[in-house]
Amino acid sequence: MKHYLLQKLFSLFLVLFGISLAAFVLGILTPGNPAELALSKGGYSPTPEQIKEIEIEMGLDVPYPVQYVKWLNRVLHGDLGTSYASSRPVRQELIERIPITLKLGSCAMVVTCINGILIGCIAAAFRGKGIDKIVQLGINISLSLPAFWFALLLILFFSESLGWLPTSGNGGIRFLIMPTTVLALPASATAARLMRSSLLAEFGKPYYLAAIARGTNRFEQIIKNALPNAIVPVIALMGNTLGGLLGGSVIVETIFALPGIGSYAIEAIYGRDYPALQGYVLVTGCVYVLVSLLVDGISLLLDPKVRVGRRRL
Amino acid sequence: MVGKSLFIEELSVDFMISTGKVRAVDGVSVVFESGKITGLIGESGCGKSVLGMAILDLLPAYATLNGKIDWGEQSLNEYSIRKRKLLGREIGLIPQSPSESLNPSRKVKAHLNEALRPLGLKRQERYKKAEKLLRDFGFNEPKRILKAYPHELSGGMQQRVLCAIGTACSPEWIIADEPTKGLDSELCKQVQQTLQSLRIQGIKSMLVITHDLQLAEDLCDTIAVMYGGQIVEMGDVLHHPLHPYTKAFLDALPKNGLHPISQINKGVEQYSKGCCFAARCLKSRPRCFQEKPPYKGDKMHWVRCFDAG
Repeated sequence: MKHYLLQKLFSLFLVLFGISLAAFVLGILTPGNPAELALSKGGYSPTPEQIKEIEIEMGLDVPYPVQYVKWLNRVLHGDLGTSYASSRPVRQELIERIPITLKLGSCAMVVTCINGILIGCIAAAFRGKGIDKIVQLGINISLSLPAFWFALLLILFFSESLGWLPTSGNGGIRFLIMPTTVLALPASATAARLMRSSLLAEFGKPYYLAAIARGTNRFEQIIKNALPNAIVPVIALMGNTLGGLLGGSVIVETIFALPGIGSYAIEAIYGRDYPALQGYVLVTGCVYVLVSLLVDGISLLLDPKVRVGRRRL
Repeated sequence: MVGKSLFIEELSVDFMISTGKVRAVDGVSVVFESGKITGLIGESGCGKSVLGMAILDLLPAYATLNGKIDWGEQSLNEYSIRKRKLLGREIGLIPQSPSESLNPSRKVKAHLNEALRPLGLKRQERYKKAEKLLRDFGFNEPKRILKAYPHELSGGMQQRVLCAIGTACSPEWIIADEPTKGLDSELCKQVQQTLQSLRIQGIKSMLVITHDLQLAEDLCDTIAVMYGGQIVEMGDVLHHPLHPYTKAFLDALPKNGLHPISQINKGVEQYSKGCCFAARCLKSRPRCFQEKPPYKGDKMHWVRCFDAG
C-alpha cells in the first residue's frame, strides 16, 4: 500500500511536470512574437526598438530553459501572467470563471451519476426484454447526437417555441438546465452502458448464483450483491468524465454564453491570448490529474481487501 | 413426516454456444430419495454440476432445459423454482469454490442476514441465530467472523460459512456442489465432518456432487455414477460396481493399480444414439452403438448396460 502510494505520487509529479512543460512550450511554439503581440493591440504598429525593449522587460531575451524556470517560479507563486486581451492577470480571470464551470460540471456530474447507474441497473435487470432494448436504443441515439446540434434543438424547442427556459446567459438554476442536459446526455449514456455490461458480468459469477440460491429477491441480488462489485469500473469512468467536465465544455459554454473556463479558452484562442491559454491548460491539466488521483483512491477504498486488509481473526 | 423426494424424468440440458448445441445432461431419469445422502460422482465435464444447477433452476440464460423435475408432489419446472420461493427455504445450496461463492465486498453478517430473512425474525434474533449457526459449524468466536470480509477467512472457514448460509433456514434438501474441490486432505476431512453434522442440524436429504470418491464412500448412503451426461449406475457402486464404466473408473484409482480407461472421452453427442460409454467400453457390441441400454436391477441398485445384471 505504502509502495503503491509512493509510486502514485511519483507519477503524479511527473505528469504535473509534463503539463507545465506543455503549457510553457505552447507559449513558445505559437506563431508571432509575444512582445509584438502585446504591443500591437488596437492597430498600433510598434518599432523594432520598442519590441526589443518589451522583450527584455518580458524576459524573452534569455534561453528557453531559463525562461521556463523563471516562468515556473512565477506560476508556483500564483502568477499566471497577464492576458493580452484584457491586460488583467490571468489568475484573476480564471478565478472569476472557474465557479461557473464548477457549477455546470457538478450539475452534469450529479445528473450523469444518477441516470447512468439507475438506467444501467434497470437495463441489466431486464436483460433482453423490451425495456433493455429501448434503453440500448436510447444509449446509441444519445451517443450519436452531436452536442452543438442537440443544444440548438433544445433552445429552439424550450426557449423559442415554449418560452420556458432562457436561451443563454449566466444566472439561476433555470439557466443551467439546458447546458446540463447537453453535457449529461452522452455521459449518462456511456455510464449506463458500462453499468449494464458490468452488472451482467457479475450475474454469472458464483457468488451471485449463491446469493440467488439462498433465496434473495431481485433487489437484494442486484443492488446489494452485484452492484458494489459492478460499480468499480463505472466509478473510474465517472472520474474521467468529471475531469473532462471540470475542464469546461467549449461547445456548451459558447452556445449558452456561459462565461466559464471553456469559453475562456476559446476566446483566448481566437484572440491569440497565449498567457490566458497557458493558464487554462495548466489549471485544467492539474484538476484532471487530481480528480483521477482522487477517483483512484476511492476505487481502492471500495475494495475491502485494501480498506480493511487482513485483520487477525 | 415423510420428506419429499426429487423425481427427475428424461431431463436434458443443452447449452447454445457459438458453434452449436452442447448437450450437458442427456435424458437423465432418476429418483433422489428423501432422507438419504446421495452422492453424484463422475469425471469433470460429465454434467453432474449442471444437473445440480438444473434442479436449483440456476442455469445460465443460454441453457435450455427439457424434461421434468418434481419435488414431492410439486413440479419444479412448470413454474420457476425461484418464483416458488423454495430456494434457501426448502432446498439449499452449498456452492462449489468457496472463495468465489462469497461476495467479496460484503461481510459474512450480510450474507447470513440475507439467508435468515425468510424465517421472519427480528433483527436482534437474527443476529443471535447467525451466531448460533456459526458456532454449530465450529467457529468459536462467531462475533468476529460475522464482522469479517470473505478474504479474511481461510478456504476451510469460507466453506463452513457457506454451509452455515446454505442451512440457515433448515431446508429439507441440501445440494452440495463439489464441496471438497480444491481443498487439501485435512480440509476435506473437515468438510466431511461438517456435512455429516448437517444431519444433526435437521437436514434430512442431501445430494452431494463430487469427484472425491473417499468423500462419497464415507458420507453417502447411495451413489449415482454419471458419464457423458447420463447416470449409468446408481446404488452401492463402490463395493459392487456393475457398469463397465464404474469398474474402469474404480480401476483407475491409485489404490487399485491406476489403470487408465481406454481412449479419451470424445464428448457427449457423438454416441447419443446408443450407450454413452460404448466407444470406450472394452465389451461393447454393435448393439451398444445402436440402442440406449435399458434400466436393469431394482430401486436399490440399478444400471444401464446390456451386459450387466
